[in-house]
Amino acid sequence: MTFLLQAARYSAAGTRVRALQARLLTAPDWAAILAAPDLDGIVGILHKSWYGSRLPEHLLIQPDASTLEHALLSRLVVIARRPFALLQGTPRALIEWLWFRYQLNNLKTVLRGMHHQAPPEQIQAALIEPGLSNPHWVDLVQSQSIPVVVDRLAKSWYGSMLRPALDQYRRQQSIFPLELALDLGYYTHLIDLINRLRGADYADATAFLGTWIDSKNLLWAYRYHQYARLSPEEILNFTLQRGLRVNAAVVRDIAMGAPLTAIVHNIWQDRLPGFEELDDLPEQAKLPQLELLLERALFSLAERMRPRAPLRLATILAYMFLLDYEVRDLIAVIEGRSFGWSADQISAYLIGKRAP
Amino acid sequence: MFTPERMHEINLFIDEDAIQAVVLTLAGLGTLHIAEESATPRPNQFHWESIGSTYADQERRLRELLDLLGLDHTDELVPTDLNMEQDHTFTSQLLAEVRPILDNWRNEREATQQALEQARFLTEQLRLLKPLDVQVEWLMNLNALRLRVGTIPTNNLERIQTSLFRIPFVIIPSFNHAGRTLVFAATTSTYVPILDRALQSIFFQPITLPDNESGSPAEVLAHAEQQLRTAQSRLAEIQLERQRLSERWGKRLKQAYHHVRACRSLAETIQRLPLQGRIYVIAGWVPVRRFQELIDAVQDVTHGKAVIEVLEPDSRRHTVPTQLHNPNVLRSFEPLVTNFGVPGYDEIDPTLIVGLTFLVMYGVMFGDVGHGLLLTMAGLGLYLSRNTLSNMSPLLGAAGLSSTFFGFCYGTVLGMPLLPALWLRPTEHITVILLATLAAGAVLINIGFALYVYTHWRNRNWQNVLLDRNGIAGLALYWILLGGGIGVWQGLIAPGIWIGLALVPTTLLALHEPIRRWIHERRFQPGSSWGEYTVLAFFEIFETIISFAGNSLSFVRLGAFAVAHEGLSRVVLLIADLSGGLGWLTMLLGTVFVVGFEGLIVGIQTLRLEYYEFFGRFFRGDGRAFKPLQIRANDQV
Repeated sequence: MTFLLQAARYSAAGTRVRALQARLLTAPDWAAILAAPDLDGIVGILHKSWYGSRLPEHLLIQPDASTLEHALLSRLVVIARRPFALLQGTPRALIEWLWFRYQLNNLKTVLRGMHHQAPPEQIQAALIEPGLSNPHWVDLVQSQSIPVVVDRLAKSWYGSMLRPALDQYRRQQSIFPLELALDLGYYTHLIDLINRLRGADYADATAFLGTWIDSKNLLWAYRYHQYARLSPEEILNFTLQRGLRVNAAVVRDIAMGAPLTAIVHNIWQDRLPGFEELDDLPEQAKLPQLELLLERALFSLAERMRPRAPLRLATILAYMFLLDYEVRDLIAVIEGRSFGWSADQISAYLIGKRAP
Repeated sequence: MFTPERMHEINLFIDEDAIQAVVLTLAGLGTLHIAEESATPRPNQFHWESIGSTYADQERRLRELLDLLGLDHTDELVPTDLNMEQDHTFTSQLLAEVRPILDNWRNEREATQQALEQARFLTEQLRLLKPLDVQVEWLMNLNALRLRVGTIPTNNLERIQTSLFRIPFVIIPSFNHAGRTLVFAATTSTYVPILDRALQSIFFQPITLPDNESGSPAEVLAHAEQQLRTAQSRLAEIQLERQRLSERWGKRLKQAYHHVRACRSLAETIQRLPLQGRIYVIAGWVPVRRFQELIDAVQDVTHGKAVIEVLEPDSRRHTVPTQLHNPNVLRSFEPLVTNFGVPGYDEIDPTLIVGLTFLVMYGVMFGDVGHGLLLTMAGLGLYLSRNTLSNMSPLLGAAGLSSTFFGFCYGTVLGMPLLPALWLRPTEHITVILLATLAAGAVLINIGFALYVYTHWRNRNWQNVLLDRNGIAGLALYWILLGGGIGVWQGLIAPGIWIGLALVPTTLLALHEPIRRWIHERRFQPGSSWGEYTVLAFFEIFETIISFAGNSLSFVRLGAFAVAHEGLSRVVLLIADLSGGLGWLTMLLGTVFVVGFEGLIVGIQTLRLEYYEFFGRFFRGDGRAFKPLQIRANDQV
């Protein structure tokens, strides 16, 4: 009975997601992209894929990395909205909120641009699909200062997050408190949504999003500790205290100097392929590598779940991650090619196993 | 009145130098509906694109300022003496003048609100300390302990308590306001730096005593309360200042806003026009009766240099826009038609017929003098209220009058048989009223046939006139079935003759496609095979006959609702009688229910009969509304 209910709830969204999944780049596509000698070649291949409809025509004549990346991100943001249209209730709220992080990035772009006094046109050009959200970020860009932006957002969720941090921003003249407030608010709400799920939905959400949130929390804690040399109290206040596995107790250990490998081993034990490589790396290289390993673990999980759970929340979450990672990998390839790197050099930074 | 406005299709060829003047003239006249193919964005119009985006930017800024002053953006007339190439400079000057003033006002409001918040928390803090018999400055300068007083976001209370795991501390939350909590945090002097950093990291806002403040908490509290009152009165002054600013700048800002909005829309209109060399082409439709006015105005503004091509509208090439032209009294009935669909240019405008039939059907179903007069008064009230629903008031009022008229026919007032019935009492003559409404339905269906025949006869579509199920063949079949059926029932006609007669129009209907092909191609055969066609034709004829019966019987609901209305009103009276002293209240609530709820249901049923049983017979409603290029108050061009 539960299975039937589950199937009924996810049949429409699951079908749509399966159709969307079929459009993700295939292994031969990736092989061709990695083999492409320059940006021209990459644009040519992408133009024939489903990204093609979103690529500006002039890219074919005059390829330019930043325009191409912007176009890919636009495609990502538009497509990532599609799965939640056919969902209902908390699963819909969860997927919608997951998508919402792209809009949060737009707000951060606005805040950063204004803080560094960038001209409105420059900020506007950097926004990704700003018209998909209310308020329209383009309108906000015209505001004269960050306090005015916060004032204009007063009645929205953004305003409720930013308002408490505004005084700190004024005193420190740093954008960090504002971004921190947004991030903590965003992930706290995401955890609340996960906790509102039941049964298989909860298990799926914790498998994907729990790991994702935990990895972010862990990396934040280590960065604050290693790079910013913050006090343990500040680290605890700047991270999520109610993460799923990386909770206040784990963050406290990190803040007090617990070694990275020990903490990672305790949390994920042997579920993190390549974990043993961390031991051989110098201290400063461990965090970026761990980040990559965690993302690869999520990628593998998404790949595994794709055929196994056709009528579950896992299908939709898997697609959201696969799509996001595909675009990020494409951007990595584009940037790598811009630096003149070889396919092997680039592959070392890709999240998915793209090369044949 | 029965047909939409006649249109001319025109193409205006305008020199680049005159385009702005011509577009302004056209927008001022409000007589030209620009063709869709002229409304596609053109990439080569950088000049007008740039002007359009300048105005769009100014529009956004002005809207922001109007919002700040709490002014709405509606109900302003836009002057037609626009100069799109120049006017933005005046708006820029206005913005340069007003914006700093309003920004200062906003900053001051924000600072005062912040001071007010601080003062509020300070007084709350001192109220807690009031019972203590100590000097406040002692509290702030303790030897062994250090006290921090301030506010934190309420959500962060748990967070700070979790994070302070290394030091001894006390945190006392005391007062919540606007998502923040006033806290007293204390630790020993050794750990003060840790406490301070931790507090700072959860967005702590310290509250400090005003400089040189000393004395008992009660004394300091009195002073703090004075400060709170000062901040409150300053905030009130600032709000009044907004009123003054609105009075001073509001009108100019609103005018500028609508001016800019119109300029932006016109610039975007020009941007979309096709441009060949130096010549712009404006293609569109103009009502015949205003054609000469448009030509004169365009030639006047271009000094006779505009080239104008006039064509007869051809519905086969384009969807010609439809402008209904009904007398004022019928205008409020137009939505009954347009809600279903805008009449096509070559269709008849059924507003008058729909208006009349709507009122008659509504009155029949809701006939009651008292209820009708209440509805009429509601319509009058709606008219006087002048709100967004006011345009519904003539319809409501007329429906009320129709109900009143049929109320006299039925002799009922608020469900009570107080008057002599001019016609009959529905509950006493149920069969009569049901048969009468069936007959009325048959009349309406025949009007539908007639309108279909008229529409297609007007468009010289003879095959539809003769062979369509809603044309003469269909009408003949309907009458043979209905009239012949009655004749057979009364024994006036033999069943064989009846069936034989019915076979004639049935055969015509069944063979309409081969007949059409014979007329056009001289080949008497259907598009598909005969076998396939025969099966299809059989089911079509079957469906046609069923629909005739269904359509006719559908009108029985007119009589049924008339009976139900009287019955329901009597139930209200009965319950009111049983309610004793509260009878008047029951009567009042019951009447509100009958007028509000049943009145609405009857309205829906009437529309259903109009749309499904009547419109379906003759009306396509696939036209496009005439939307002229026009500068309108509070809206786009």
